[in-house]
Parts: sequence; structure tokens; C-alpha cells
Amino acid sequence: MRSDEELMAQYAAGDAAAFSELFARYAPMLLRIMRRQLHQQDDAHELVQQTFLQMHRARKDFDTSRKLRPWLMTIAYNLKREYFRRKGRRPEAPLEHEPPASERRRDPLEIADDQARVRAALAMIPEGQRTVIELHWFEEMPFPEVAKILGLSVSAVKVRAHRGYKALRQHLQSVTAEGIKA
Amino acid sequence: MTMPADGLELSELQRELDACRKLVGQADGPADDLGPLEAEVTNLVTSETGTRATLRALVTGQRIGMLVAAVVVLGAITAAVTPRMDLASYPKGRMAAVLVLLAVLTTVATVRLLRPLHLPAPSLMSSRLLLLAGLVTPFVVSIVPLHDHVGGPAGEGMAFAIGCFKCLGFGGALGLPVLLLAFAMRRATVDGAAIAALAGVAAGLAGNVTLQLHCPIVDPLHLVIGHALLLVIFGTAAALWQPTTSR
Repeated sequence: MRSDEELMAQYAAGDAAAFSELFARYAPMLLRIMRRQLHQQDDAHELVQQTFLQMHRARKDFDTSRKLRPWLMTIAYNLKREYFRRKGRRPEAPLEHEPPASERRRDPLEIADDQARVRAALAMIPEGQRTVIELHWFEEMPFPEVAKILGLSVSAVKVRAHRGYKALRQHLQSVTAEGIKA
Repeated sequence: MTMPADGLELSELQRELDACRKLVGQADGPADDLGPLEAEVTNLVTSETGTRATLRALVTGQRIGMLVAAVVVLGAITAAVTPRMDLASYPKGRMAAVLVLLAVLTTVATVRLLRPLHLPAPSLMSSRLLLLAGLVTPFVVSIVPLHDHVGGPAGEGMAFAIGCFKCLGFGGALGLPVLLLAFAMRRATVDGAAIAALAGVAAGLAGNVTLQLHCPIVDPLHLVIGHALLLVIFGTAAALWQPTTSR
């Protein structure tokens, strides 16, 4: 199986089929990340499109001695940052989809309920910390790769992660306590 | 969902967050049919044709080099075709210093303007400082007195105003191609008006390079109004215009 980097090199050399393969490999992850952060299906689709369009425009810039994933993810995160800059707001949780407090702990195994709680807790932490958690935990990227995507040092990413986990736990605790009271 | 106790270690936190990850992963639901999205992306990519698409797809070093080279070529043509009348007597050190300063500012502005999205974005503050430096430096250069050299007459009243307009027109005409080229080579409309204004700064600096080689007037007021003001005009125009590059 060809590596991502080989596919990208072939695409830059004019192999259109390589693009389909790259799309198949990266579109699901990009869509998942964008949805999680934007909560708008259409906007998430638009940003994924733009990410691939920018990948196309920058294809000759790609250095095949480097990894494709952080390269592409940096494009996606820059576009996402621009999206929020234009909207003039930070990412929000889809609170309108959250179940009423009285029903939150009625069924502790209700996945949708837990999911809403996690998203609500995530939306409460600063964007810089949330981004690190998104990449490191949800997308299982190692700290050095996260650092490369965000243009930070590895130690700075670890500090953000630690603070983010701590804040997330506190928010999850408070959301859960609220649910138990109800 | 179990909650960890206070004072937990990172490994405990890791387990907790791992549980969160699984929950979110489940929440993503069944896999999407990505066919329509791929079709849209393919349409976008295949519609990338023509001169603008070719320019945007160049390696970033080439894009920056082309824009800086355009400024150099415009300066060289000006010096060859319509050189300033006092070129022989104009202080060589000052000429070199001004041209190098303008070239360096043009290069730095171009590097920031054409920065590819696969690199982490620098802070907006540093970009704004760069914009400020690009705008202010020509004004500062204009008011630094030039001793022991008498250039052409700046004129008074209407003659002064006409002289300034002529220079704005000359520099504007030669700076405009740089503005158009800068926007043509930009791959994405990102980071707002401050960054778009850098295209105008590059164009204004190009105009100032040509004026430095063409206009013999050394009166500071003429240099401020007829030369340096070009950067503000181009910068404002670029910030307001900023053509979209996404489609």
C-alpha cells in the first residue's frame, strides 16, 4: 500500500487517481473534526472542501520527506481559525441538542446523553486547550505532531493538554453533579 | 461515566479522557456517504485552470521570488527608461540605503502575504506590526533631510499639487501590476484586511522604488504626499477590495 506521502508526491506529479485515495483516507477524519467544532453540517462540508482545495493549490509545496498528516491538518486548522474569525465568535456547543436537565441521568448508559455532556464540557474550555485535546485524544495524534500542526513547542502543547484535561474533568464533574441533583 | 478524584495523576486523567474520546467517537454515528462531497471537491479542483490557478500553484518560494523580481524589474526599467535627472549627483549611499530598505520591506510583506496555509499562522499582532512598519518607514525616509544635494524644484501652490499628483500617478501605475500579481498569487483569503493590506503595501513600495529612481524632487513634503502616501492609498484599496480566492 502506498504511503500518504507517496500518494501526495504522485498527485503533485499529476496523478489524479492519487487524489481520490487521499480523499478517502483523510475526508472522514477532517469531516469528523470540523463537525465536532462547528456543529454545522454545511459549514463542516464547506471547510473540508476548502481544505482539499488548498491542498491542491499547495501540492507543489509539499516536501515528501515530511509527513502529510500534520501538513494537511495545519491547513484544516488555519481554515477553521479563519472560519471562527469571520464569524466573530469562538466555537460553541450545540446546546439546543442537549437533553433537559431532568432527563440527564435518568439513563446513565444513554450514549447520546453522555455525548452531549462531553461536548458541552469541551465547549467550556479555552479554544487552545480544546484544540490540543481534539487532536491528541480524539484523533490520537502524538504531542510532537500536534505541536507541528499548531506551531507550538511540544512542552507548550503538553501544558495546554494538562490544563485542558483538568478543566474538562471539572466541567464534566459539574455537569454530572447537576444531572444527579436533577 | 465515573469521575476521577481530585489531585489525580496524568495517567488517571488519560483514562478518563479516553472514555470521553470513546463517547465522542460513538457520537459520530455511522460513516457518511462521502461521494457527493468528493464530487464537489473534484469539481473545485478541476475548475482550477488558467493563469491565476497556475500562479497560485507555484512553489511558495517561486511566488515570493516572482513578486520581488517584479519590483526589481520595474525599478530597473524606470532607471533605464526614465531615470531621475539628478541621478549622477544623487548621494550613492542614500540611494542604495533607500532601495535596499524598500526591497527588504517588500520581501518581508510578500513573505507574510503569501504565507502558505500548511504553516502555522504567525500572530496577528506581528502581522499588524509588519503592516505598520511597511506603512510608516517610507514616511520616515521622506522626512530624513538630504544634505548637500539640491534636487528638482517641488514648486508652490498648484504646481506643487500637480507635481505630487504626477508622482502618485506614476508610482500608482507602476505599483498596480504588483498589487494584481500579489492578489493573483494568493491562495486563500485569510486573516482579514490587515494581511490583505500587505498586498497594497508591496504595491506601494514598488511604486516608491520606481519614484526613487525617477523623481528628482527631494523636498520632504513632496516625498510625503507624492511618494509615501502611495502606500496608504494602495494599502487601503487592498484592504477594502481583497478579491476572494476561495472559488
